[in-house]
Formats: sequence, structure tokens, C-alpha cells
Amino acid sequence: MATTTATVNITSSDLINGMPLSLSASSTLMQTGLTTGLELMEMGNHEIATGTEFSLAEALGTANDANWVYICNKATDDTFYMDWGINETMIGRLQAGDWMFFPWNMSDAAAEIEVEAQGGTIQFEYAIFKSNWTLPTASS
Amino acid sequence: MGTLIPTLTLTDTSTFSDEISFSVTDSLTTGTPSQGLTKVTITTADNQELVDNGVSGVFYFFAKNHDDTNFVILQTTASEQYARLSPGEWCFFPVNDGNGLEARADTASIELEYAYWKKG
Repeated sequence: MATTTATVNITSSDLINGMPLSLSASSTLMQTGLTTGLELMEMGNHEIATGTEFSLAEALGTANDANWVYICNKATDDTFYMDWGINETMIGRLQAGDWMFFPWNMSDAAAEIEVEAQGGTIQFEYAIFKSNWTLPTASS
Repeated sequence: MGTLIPTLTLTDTSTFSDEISFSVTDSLTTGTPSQGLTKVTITTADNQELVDNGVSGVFYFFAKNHDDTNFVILQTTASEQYARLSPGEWCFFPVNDGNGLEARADTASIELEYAYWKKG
């Protein structure tokens, strides 16, 4: 059984005067429901040219299964950012060096994850933990 | 306004032939407004807005589902669902300018801890 533990720590010494922030949260990635373990995973690095839309993950599998996505914009130029979205809806923006970790709700076949580079060519790394992933049938 | 240092650590010793032991950190300059750690009850009755789409800016958003059995849906204020947070799980990601963020419980009310900080 896969036991993947994800932990986040968020700290700040100057957010509010006299009140430093030290937030910590940890959880084990679960399948839909309360079963521990997402057995399927893919990870890698890609490079995309500015203005290019890139399909990072197709919505293959069972609707509403549990899936987790990590993306990090590896650009070092502050003007290079990545827009990311699902189902043609832009959800967020990763600035140079920023990362995110979120539970992708693959609600239907159109809920693919797309990223787009802005400002210049961007290298990014990613990992996707999945409950279910059905490869498309070969055409011949 | 302030500097936020988020660090993600992923570990797994059982899934693959190689161990996963991974960590990434960042330094984020934040502005106003921000919402400090807050715990609210999210019901099934309606979509509850946590990040106002009428406030301009990119927001770094953190949430943790404190319920033991029920999940919560996260979506834009235009009702585009994109995330499902299971019991005990957390997330951290940037919400785009003008998108806003809503939460809706699916089966029963849950307690959600959340915070957000505007990108400076």
C-alpha cells in the first residue's frame, strides 16, 4: 500500500508585528473516501515557450476520484510566470520559483490541467498522484 | 508587507522501487489584504465565498479539512469546481486575480481551516 505523506510548513517573522507565523500541516494522501494510498504517480520536467499552452494531465479515469498535483515554476527571472487552469478556466498563477500542491477534482472528461508560460521560456517540474488512470485505447 | 516562507515535503518509502523524499521551499512577498488562520463551518446548503473575486490580486491560499469523514469542494466564484479536499487533507496554491474561491461541503457540514495572503 502506498503511504505518501505530504507536509507543509509556512512561516513568517514579519507578517504581523509581534505575531510570527509558524503553520504546519501534514496528511497522508488518500484514495477517494478514507482508504490510504494513491498507487499511481507520474512526475517529470518540462519546458514550454512563452505563450504556449501545455496540457499537463488529461482527465483519464473515474470522475471525482482523488488526485494530487504538485507544480513548481523553476524560472529564476521574476517576470516569468505560469498560468494554470482546469477545463479552460484559469485558476491560478505561479510566479518564478513558486510551487503549489492541490487536490485535483477530475470532475469530468474535460477537466484536464493546462499550464501556459508567460514572459519567457519556463522550465517546470511536476508530480501527479492518482487514484485511477486509464490509458486511451490505441488507434490501431 | 511581509515575507512568507512555504515549504512542501513529500515522503514515501513504499510505493516505488526508489524512495520519495522531496522538499521544495519558496519566499513569497505578501501585501494586503490577508486573512490569518481562520476556522469556519462549511455547509452543504450553499457555496461559501472565502476569497472575494471582487478584490484584485493573486492570493496564496492554504486550507485544511478538519472533518474526519467528509470532503469539501473548492471552486471559483463562477462555480467551476477544481479541487476536492478529503478528510484531514490540506492544500496550498495561488488563486488567480478575479477568480475568487468558494467552498461547499458535499455530504455534511465540515470544519475548514484556511488562510490567504495577497501577493505583494
